[in-house]
Amino acid sequence: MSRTLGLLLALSIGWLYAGVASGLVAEWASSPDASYGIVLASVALLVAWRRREALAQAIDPAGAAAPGAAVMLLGLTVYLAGQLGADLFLTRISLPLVIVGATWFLAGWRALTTMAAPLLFFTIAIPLPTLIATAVTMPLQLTASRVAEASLTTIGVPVFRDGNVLELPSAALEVAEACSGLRSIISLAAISVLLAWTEPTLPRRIAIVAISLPLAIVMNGLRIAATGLACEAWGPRAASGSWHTFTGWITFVVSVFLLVQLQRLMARGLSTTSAWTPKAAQA
Amino acid sequence: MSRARLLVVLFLVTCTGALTAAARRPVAVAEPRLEQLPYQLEAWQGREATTLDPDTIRLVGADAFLTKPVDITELIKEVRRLAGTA
Repeated sequence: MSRTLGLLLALSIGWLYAGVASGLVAEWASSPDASYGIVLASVALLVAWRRREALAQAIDPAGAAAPGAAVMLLGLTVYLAGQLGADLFLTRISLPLVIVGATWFLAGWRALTTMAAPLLFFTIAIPLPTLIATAVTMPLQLTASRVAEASLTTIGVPVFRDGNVLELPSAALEVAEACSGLRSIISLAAISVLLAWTEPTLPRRIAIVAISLPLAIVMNGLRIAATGLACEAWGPRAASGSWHTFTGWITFVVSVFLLVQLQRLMARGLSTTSAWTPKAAQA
Repeated sequence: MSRARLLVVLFLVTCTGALTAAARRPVAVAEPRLEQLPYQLEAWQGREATTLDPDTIRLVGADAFLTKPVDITELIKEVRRLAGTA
């Protein structure tokens, strides 16, 4: 009986969210700004599948009902608000809320914590709302321009910055919206969440995710500086051709490499710190 | 898992789906009777015009339309008089 009810519940949630899920998959597949989502969603599914036995063991049907019910009601209310207000992000973000609430309500807190990682991965896979993306793009463009200006000045290339335009001796370089670095920030943050999952403690997990943000911003600024240098060396065509694409790709690879190295450094530093005790110091 | 709790979740999810479906149902709107629009609207004077050609009607896809060009010469005169530029 419970199995039938469980199947009915899965079907009803599937019915409720069929449109949302197909829209998400379509955006992941078609938008370069959201393509990281498909990797995170796949990892979420994989991790959830690998943890199914741990989930079965963690189920506590007699656990407190109120908190889970409250989260689930909140999720369904957010879904309704999103549907009635035609807000895509609210409708999408309600899905992890409903899953969290339903898992907590039906299976208990321990079962929910068992599924915390895949649920977090899935939540991050949901593309940012346009309102936020638009609000952060311009400040990011200006920050990237400032970093590029400082880098070029440091290495002796004369540059004058006017907002998001870098005036070089050979050309004027406009840091466009697509070069704001938002895409690389989100992608690197997504990778940092995956890396953080391998860390043993919560502060270290938070540190890894926190490091990824300034790293992505600085690396994007350096990429723009490299484009400026290429402009000086090979002419303005370097700002839009294959060099531009290549620097974008190589910057991201280097960013990931640096993030992994920082994680290793942090792990090594902490293990050295934990090995250092007052007793050892006296010896 | 508790059967009672499963039923509660099933009920809530189904209710949300039903509410959403009800909200999405198209509302019947009375067809506009555009031919009743008067020719004279304050200082605006309308006149009958030839109808749109079939291709335009097909491309626009409007369920109702009206082609009544309005002569606003009098309106412009009135505005100029009020602005003191006439």
